[in-house]
Amino acid sequence: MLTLMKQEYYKAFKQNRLYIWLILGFLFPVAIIGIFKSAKTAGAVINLGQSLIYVQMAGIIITALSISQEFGFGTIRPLLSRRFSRGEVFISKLLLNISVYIGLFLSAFIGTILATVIFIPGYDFSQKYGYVGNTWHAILISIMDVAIQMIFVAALVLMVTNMVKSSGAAIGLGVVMIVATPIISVISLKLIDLAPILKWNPFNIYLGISSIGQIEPSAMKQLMNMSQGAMIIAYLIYIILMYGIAYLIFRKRSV
Amino acid sequence: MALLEVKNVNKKYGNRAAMDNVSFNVEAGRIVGLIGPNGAGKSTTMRAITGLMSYTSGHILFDGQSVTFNNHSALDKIGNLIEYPAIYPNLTALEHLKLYAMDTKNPADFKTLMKKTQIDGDNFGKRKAKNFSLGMKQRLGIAIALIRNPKLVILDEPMNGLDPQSVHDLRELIRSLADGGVAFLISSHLLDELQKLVDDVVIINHGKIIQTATMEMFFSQDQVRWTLLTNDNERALQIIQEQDWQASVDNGQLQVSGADNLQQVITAINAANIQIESLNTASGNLEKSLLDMLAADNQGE
Repeated sequence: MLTLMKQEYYKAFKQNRLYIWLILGFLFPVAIIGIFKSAKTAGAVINLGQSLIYVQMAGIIITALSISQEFGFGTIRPLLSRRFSRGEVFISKLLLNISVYIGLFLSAFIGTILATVIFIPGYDFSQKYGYVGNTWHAILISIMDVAIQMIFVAALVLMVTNMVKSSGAAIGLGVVMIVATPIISVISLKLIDLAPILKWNPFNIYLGISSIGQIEPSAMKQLMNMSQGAMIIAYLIYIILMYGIAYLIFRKRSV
Repeated sequence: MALLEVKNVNKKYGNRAAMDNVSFNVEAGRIVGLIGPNGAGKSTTMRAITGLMSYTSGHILFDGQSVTFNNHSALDKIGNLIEYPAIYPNLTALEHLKLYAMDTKNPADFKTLMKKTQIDGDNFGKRKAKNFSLGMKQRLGIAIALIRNPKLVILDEPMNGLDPQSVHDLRELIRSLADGGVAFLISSHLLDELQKLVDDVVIINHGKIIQTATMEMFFSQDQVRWTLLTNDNERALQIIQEQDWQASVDNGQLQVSGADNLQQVITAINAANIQIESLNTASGNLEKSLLDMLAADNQGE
């Protein structure tokens, strides 16, 4: 397993793409906070200079490419014709992806702090923000919120990539999940109106989880018609299910 | 005990048998040619041996250890190049070797391997693989197959894209490794090249092994053929056929087989006052033998 991880990191660090992702993650908040007057606010700082959406997009693309590229290059055969089990190969890919997500969050965070210090002089990070605490707490919650969403979207992307062996469809679906949230929300609400049981549909659960931190728990319960705890459990079940399906397809596939 | 034992392996896709009771062995230090037409099951067999594909029944044993879709513990000492080389476009040749060498504690010496597989010249080792020609990729693929100092190397069409000099050098490399005890299982459509290289042949057709033999045994079954050019091929053909020998005219030359010896053929033709202008003895042609064997197998079905 350690060998596999070493190999995955070796391949990743030899790709210019990784450095471009990380540099863009750093530059994005610097540019947003530096250029736009409207971004010189606590809200923008907490959203890491609006770079969280970039981090999500990059995460989706990285996830989709992590396996589909091996098929595209024809390198999947030597990868799977070694002493390692397919489970180990799959997990090494997941761990690499998680490392890259952490790198993306870190670069965006550092870029935001630097941009705040330079372009919003005198900004007080200890000032109270909303009901969650000070700016540091709010930033942490924003990152956690996006990270939790990313785990879900990444599971979906990984599952679709394994099903169709192509990154295009998976990236498309992942992007839709992020940028078309209002449309998904409307469709989901219409479906729930028709059949209340559909409140358990994965998109509704995803939308509910995306709203944690933005809506107070009591309001959330009223809106979602389920407790926050039930929503989190459903969310976890969906994540496990999607990663499980992705793994099963990967394990069974003849190459 | 053979290094690789493939025993009664079956693989079905729906009703179609991709591997039909496939059995053969590969001994240490032997070069085995896995030969057959397109779709015969060569790549399928190689994929089953390398654990890339499940099989319905049977056993594959490497060095006494079972190899299955889920059990890869024996694969450490098998190198392979199946269908096309596994190349990451953004890595150099040297980086590829470093990457794949991480799999083992005792990899081959990079410099020696690069020299042997000719990936040491023209800054080859330092250039990104996306700029490689087909032949360069192929040579790198072969180097990757050898990096773990394998006991068995599986090569599917290894001569693809190689120039004549590289084909010659690859042949020499394979032979020298085989002399050192490494076994090879090679499939190729370049039968002339294969004929110069392999010790044993395994012929596969429609997923079924139709012959396994050493090259000597394989050709000992082959009939000697004579190619003649006469001043009247049509009449000569008629005379030979009257003797119950097999004959045909191919590219303006008479192909004769079935006689006990060449003298019988010459005597029969001379008796008809036909002049023989040139004469060649052709025996042990892998391509011709394979085609005859496949034709007979296809007719039998």
